[in-house]
Amino acid sequence: MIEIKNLHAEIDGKEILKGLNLTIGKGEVHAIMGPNGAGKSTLSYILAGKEDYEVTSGDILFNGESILEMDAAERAAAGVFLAFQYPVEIPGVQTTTFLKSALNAVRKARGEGEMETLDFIKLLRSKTSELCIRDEMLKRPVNVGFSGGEKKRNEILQMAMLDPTFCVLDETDSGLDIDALKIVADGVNALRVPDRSFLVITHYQRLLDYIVPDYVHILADGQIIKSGDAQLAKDLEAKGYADFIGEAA
Amino acid sequence: MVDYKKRSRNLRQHQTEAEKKIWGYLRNRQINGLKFYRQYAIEPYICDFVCRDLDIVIEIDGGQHNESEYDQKRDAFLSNEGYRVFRYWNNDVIQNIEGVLEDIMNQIEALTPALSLKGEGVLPTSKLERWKYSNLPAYVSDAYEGQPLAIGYDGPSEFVTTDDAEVTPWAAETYGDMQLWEGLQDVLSLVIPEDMHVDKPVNLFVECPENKQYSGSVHVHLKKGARLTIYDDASVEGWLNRMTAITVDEGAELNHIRTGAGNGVVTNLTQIDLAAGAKYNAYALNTYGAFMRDQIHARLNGTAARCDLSGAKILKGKQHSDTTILIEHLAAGCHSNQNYRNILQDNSRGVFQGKVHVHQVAQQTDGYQLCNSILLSEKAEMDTKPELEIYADDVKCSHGATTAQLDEEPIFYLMARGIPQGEARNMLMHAFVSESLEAFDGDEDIYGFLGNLIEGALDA
Repeated sequence: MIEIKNLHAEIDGKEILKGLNLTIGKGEVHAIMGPNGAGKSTLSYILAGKEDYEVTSGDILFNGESILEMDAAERAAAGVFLAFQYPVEIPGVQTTTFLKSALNAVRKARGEGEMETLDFIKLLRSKTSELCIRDEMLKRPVNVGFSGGEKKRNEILQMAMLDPTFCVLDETDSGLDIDALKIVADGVNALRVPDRSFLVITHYQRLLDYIVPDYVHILADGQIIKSGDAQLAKDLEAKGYADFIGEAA
Repeated sequence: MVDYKKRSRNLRQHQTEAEKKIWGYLRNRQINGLKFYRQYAIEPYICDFVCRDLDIVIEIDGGQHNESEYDQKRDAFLSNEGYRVFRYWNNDVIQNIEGVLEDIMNQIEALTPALSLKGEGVLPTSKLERWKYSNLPAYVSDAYEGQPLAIGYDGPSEFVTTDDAEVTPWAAETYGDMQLWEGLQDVLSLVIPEDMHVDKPVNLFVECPENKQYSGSVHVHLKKGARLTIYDDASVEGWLNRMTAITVDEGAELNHIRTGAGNGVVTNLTQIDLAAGAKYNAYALNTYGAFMRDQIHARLNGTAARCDLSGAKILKGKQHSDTTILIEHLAAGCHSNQNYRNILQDNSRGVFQGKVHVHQVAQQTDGYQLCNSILLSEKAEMDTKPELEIYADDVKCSHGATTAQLDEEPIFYLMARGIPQGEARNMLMHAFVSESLEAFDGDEDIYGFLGNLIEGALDA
């Protein structure tokens, strides 16, 4: 599904990713954990196609094809989805309007026709009820005045609506209390299907109690330094990053 | 030695009936914007009326010294000094003032075949404080053929009147640019009777072709408790110079929506008088014109009056668009709001000068203003000057202005959801400009009308 090969990337001349390798198969859930400054968010932005970052060498293959030349919108249409750590507020754009524009843009790029308004509303209603999203929230401008939990639920709603095949969750647990975390995790778990893969980026093991990964990787200083199964996350939580980083060095 | 000053003053105080009558028409630049002086000394003589711009002397003669040797000598002297002397009889002035004025105007036009407002020293220039960002003479140096504005009106005919009490252009004296606004011919007066709620909006339309200078003043008067919505649209290729005088009586409410098209020059002065509890809610969509000066002067004269001014500029190419506002709070408990959003591309330039003046009597004033602009090009320029002048102590006032580029973060967010870059930028610009429509949130028709025009202007 996705192959990251010897990826080197920098921002403002500073190298952040220093030869990152990662392969995620169809239907798999991988978690990346790592200390602050390891390059976790950089990786998520580069996968989504943010222009501020420059890939200096290496490649990212999605279903066997390089996506480095595609812009963010093209990647989204191809099936890449990033759930933002800090969802952006967009005053003046109503959430429903935004969802409809996004869905239709993606459908258009995928060669499907625009969705009928009634079908769209039906789809939206089925997704919002799963995620405990009130209609009132949909009437507000995108993320404006949303609580931390509402913003994250809105991210998962977008994920559910756009039907991606590769989802990156960037610290989706940050700023969430335990109830909100559970709702978000349930939403993600509901989207776990055989042809959809996930990359879950997190600081803490806690999220992985709810979204149980198939593989766990430790990212430090721009490289994957250790990989394992869900048990690795638990060991990491018990010992702390320093032990593992020392071990690798 | 003769004290000419004293003699002039003395003569002014002892004007004849005919002199008084004609002075009513000559004063305040009512004739072609020309300034006349009365009992003006051209030593050793004192003349009845003198226009120094054109070196014209107008004399009103009684019966006793007509065609006397004295007058002949005096005319010869003045003529030698370069003056043209026009003489009228006392009786003519009193019994046939129309004929006299017509003759004066004919004489003036004969002297100045291309007389318009374009002459040096006649137009306001950027030397004037309130015109400092906008140099009108740079845009109207070509010859314009001046004529009174023809204004299209689509609304009930009973509102059109010819005998409403004359509205003086009080706002004209504010910035030293009165030559543009004074003495403009009345081209339309609308009076809405007391308590009449006009459900169907009234449409005004102006078409100003190339090389023509159309000027005139429009009066709108809403009597107590009346309600009206005006859609005012202009198509300007020449030069449109217009004063709009608005009077809103107690508890009356006026919506005033202004739009336009074309590549000409627009100079607008809108003066607004608001009585107690009156509401004026205005929107100006400035997407047109090579040069636009939109000057708005509102007086909140009665308690609890409300004045909402909002608008947007969407500018391209070399367009220059200037909005200059003065809101005067002259009574307690009034509310004013200025809410503008601008998007500037290419080499365009926008100007926003918004001033709120809270007089000492105007306690419990709410006065807000916000003007946010986005520059899409490095060569675009926005000059903003928000000002507050407050003499009352119990007021809530704020002003703010930002000028920035389109924010990259929301663009990336929208693109990460599959929305192509161009569409994402457009969505954000539309959302930004739509913030200026806040005052019409409750009015679907106006909101929809302006929303569509904004979308069209952004797509163009």
